[in-house]
Amino acid sequence: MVLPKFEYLTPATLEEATLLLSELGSGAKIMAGGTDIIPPMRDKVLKADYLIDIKHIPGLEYITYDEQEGLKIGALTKLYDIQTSKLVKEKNPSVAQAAKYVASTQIRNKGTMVGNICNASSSCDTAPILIAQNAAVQVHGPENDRVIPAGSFFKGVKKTWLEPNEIVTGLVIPPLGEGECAAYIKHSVRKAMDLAIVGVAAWLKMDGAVCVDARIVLGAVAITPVRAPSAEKVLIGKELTDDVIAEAGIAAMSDCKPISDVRASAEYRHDMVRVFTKRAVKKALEGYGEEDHI
Amino acid sequence: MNRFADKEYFRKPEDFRLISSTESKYTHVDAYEKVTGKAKYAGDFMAPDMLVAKVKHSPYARAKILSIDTSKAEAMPGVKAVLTGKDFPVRITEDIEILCQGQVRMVGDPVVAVCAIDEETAENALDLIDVEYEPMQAIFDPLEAIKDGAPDVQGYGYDNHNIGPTCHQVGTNDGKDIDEEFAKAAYVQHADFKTHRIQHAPIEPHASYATYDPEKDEWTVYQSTTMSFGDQFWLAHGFQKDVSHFHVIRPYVGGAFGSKSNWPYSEFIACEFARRTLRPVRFVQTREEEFQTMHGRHPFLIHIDTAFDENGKILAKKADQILDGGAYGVSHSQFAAVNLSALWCAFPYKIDAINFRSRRVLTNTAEGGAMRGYTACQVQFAHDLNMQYASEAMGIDPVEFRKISAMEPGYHSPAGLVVTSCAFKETLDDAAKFMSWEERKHTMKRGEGIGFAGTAFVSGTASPVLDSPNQAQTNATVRVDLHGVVFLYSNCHDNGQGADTVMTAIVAEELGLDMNEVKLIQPSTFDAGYDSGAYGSRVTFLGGNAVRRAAVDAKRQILEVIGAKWSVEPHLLDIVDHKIICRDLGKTNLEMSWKDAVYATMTTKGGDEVVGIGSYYHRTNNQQFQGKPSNYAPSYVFSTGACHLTVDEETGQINIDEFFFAHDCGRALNKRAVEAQLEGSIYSGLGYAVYEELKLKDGRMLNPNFRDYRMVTALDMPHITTKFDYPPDPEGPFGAKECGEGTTAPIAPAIANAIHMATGLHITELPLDPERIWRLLQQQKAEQAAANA
Repeated sequence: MVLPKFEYLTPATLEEATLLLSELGSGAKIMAGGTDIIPPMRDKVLKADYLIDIKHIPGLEYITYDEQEGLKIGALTKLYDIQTSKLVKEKNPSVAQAAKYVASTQIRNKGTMVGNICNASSSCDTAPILIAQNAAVQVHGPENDRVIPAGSFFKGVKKTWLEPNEIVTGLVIPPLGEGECAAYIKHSVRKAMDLAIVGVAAWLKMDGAVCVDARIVLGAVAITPVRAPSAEKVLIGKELTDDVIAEAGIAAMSDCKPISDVRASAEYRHDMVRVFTKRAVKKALEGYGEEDHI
Repeated sequence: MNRFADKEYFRKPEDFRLISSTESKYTHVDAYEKVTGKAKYAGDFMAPDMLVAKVKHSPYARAKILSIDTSKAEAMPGVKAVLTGKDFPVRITEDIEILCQGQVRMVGDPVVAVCAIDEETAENALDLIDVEYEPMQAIFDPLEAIKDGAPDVQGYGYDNHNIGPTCHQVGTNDGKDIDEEFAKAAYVQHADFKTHRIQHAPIEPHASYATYDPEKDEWTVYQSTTMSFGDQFWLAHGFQKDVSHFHVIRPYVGGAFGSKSNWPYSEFIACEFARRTLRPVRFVQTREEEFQTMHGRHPFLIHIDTAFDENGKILAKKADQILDGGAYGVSHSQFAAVNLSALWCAFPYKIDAINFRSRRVLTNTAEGGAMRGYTACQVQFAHDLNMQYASEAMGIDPVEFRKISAMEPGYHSPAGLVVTSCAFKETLDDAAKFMSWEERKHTMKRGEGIGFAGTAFVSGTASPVLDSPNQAQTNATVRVDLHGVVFLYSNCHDNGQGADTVMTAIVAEELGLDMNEVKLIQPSTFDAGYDSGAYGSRVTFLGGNAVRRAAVDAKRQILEVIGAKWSVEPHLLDIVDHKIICRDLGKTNLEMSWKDAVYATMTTKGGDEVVGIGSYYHRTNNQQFQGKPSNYAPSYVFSTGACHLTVDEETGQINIDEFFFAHDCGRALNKRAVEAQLEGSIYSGLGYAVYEELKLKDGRMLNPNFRDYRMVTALDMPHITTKFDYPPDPEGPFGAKECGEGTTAPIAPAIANAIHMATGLHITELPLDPERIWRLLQQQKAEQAAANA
């Protein structure tokens, strides 16, 4: 199919971009890497009369780290740069892991992490880890700027809580404190270029062998990425033995509503939630350090 | 076939300069163009006044067409012409309508075609066309289709229970009786298998670029094809003209794997639009059209009964196979599917009593057809697992078990096959050795397995597809100009497999030249002689022999002239490294440069150029089409695939860490290409076994894109070791046999057998994707729990 005709706009400032969004209304879409915009337009699944490319706005491409606030990633920072960043790997390796799971090297060299979450697909690979770590989504609006917690960002299939004229400018992921660890793992048939059958992120706060806090987030098994409160409840306050972790996996199954589609059946997805919750917790604990674990 | 060619003028000493060389003087002739993007494929041709064609497809699997209204589309600015079924009154290959008239038989059947100034206009015009349908009951299960009272899939009124071509291969050696063999067997095994639907998915889709010359009433068609004479023949048939009106040019082809040995509606539509508008017309099929409307690999249902003696030797075998043929293919063009699928039932074993039946059944889905290892991937998957399970039932090592009945040189099968060169046992031994099978077979942990699979394939084919003076032949011409520059006129179809390279190398080798001194004339139906096409693994064996004979014919003419000058028998002369030399021990001082020899020859012959002609075909009859014994191919190839893997028993995901492939392809002419073909076979075999599946709902494909139709990625490929160093074939060009097609067949069974060893799962169906393995493991757990309770 042919890419339909559209007008391509390149604002030089955020203000200009916001103004364009307000003026042009629902026919306008923001584009960064374009990897989630162009293909659905070609397939006539997404309609846009105007594409507002924010790539020419300076100051939106960065990876920095602040001891207090944590890891900061700009709206134009490419997934490949996040995946390979020494700073990200050192300060919060699970974020680099999640970035690496998206599509292919070629796509990651165009696509951004902010774009990945703004696309709001339930199988989005970077959302679970951002939610699990309580990341903040920084938003620029015509009136004022605001921050939306990653856990409150997703509204439904391909829908976020962004106002029509708001633009996401960056992400802030809090630092991993004493005893805190996180991981994201994904189950797909291929090792690359495949959508998640299930993706699970785990964030744990440990005190010795005991888990004092936990956030488990499931991808691809509900209309948005979702927390798994039952699984978290199993973990919190307990020593994380293999049995407890396995129990959390089983509990997570009740926290999701997977569907059957061309990639997997609901039945299979359900069981994989169990398996990958278990594996995500174990993988997070690897980062916490073998010596502290039981 | 040149009668001199078989005899003394063929090179005797095997001091090859190019053949089997991996040095840089053996160049891939089209590598530069392809790597730099300069190579032009059919869809790359364009002209300023070019139009673009598009088709509106049926949304129903089976329906009557009540009415078609194209008026709005025709009135749309930029639309130049619209075609419907009535514009193509003639069916091709008996049952295919270019645009359906009155009835559609599958989702995706072409109904209306539009041509416009650009793609967007054409697409928008399609939306303005109204087609009214009356849906009818469609049938998707071949077992339902053959029942009494089942709807007629095609609606042509053939009244044959939807059963198309059928092959019944029955025979015994040495007066044996199959019932007696079963009666005296120590062990009889009954087994059932089922395979799924996949597609070739070459990166280049089918594409046509057609122009029409009204003065000559002649079409020129750039076609992405592996059978350009087939395109020419069926275009001529479709337009009710002589073949001389169709100049079909094969540009570079971006992969085919069997998909481009067909005559897609796009080429007929492009040609008709070109005739009507007198402008060039391009039709490049979309990926969705490729997936939904082009043929794929037949799904199979297979039942096997096998009789073994107390030592594990196969006494007799029966097989009953049903091919899901889709909505088309009742004509002889699909005989190959049933014939070959019956043939593979015995491969690669000596079985002296056989009774194999294959029936191709119509359903309301896209046509089943040729795909890399035509039906061998399905049949040999089933029959190799059948061997694996029998070896276990009889308590015999699986490698030894396969060797007990393995084909050997000189074996004549009851189906009429004559096995010449055959190193099957050696490939099994090499695989077992590589895998350290003897040491490791007792030390495997649960979840870890090694699997072997042995298969065989034809090297060349007797399946003609089109009539030619000799069955499935190739013609080639070698012309030498006055400066000694050599031109090869050959239509051997290069679909990316390297035919252009190997044909150039064969001529250069035979004439003692470098490859860049042999100019290959890019082929078309008007520029070079007949070639049946790139199918049936025939190109290197049959095409290579034809090209070699043409080179030898040219060589003979030169050596006869020089021999007379030197008073030496010409067959004692040879051409090595740009020199005519003498192999007569007393006269080894005689020498003349190639250029001088060519010049002298032309002077002697009154100025005539040296033109060598060659042809080759498989000397057999076509009795297999009557179900009678006949030798299907001039030679056969034998393979063993082996892999080591682990199974994640929680997810059902497998991880293959080692794949070994031993292939008896005679002498490898282009070693790097052979190695790559074997690796590519593992790639596509792995895709078939685990990753790829064309998923249908009510005949509509649910995953017609590369996101959800999972092709294997580089990251999913195992570590591969290949071995193909086996004795040369007596008949193949320089001793070569098939490589790259049948080699896809042992991959799926090797993987299945390894999973079986790792988990104990009894596998009978493909694909072996994680969810299926997970399901089988759940079932196994439940059964074990029930047994323990």
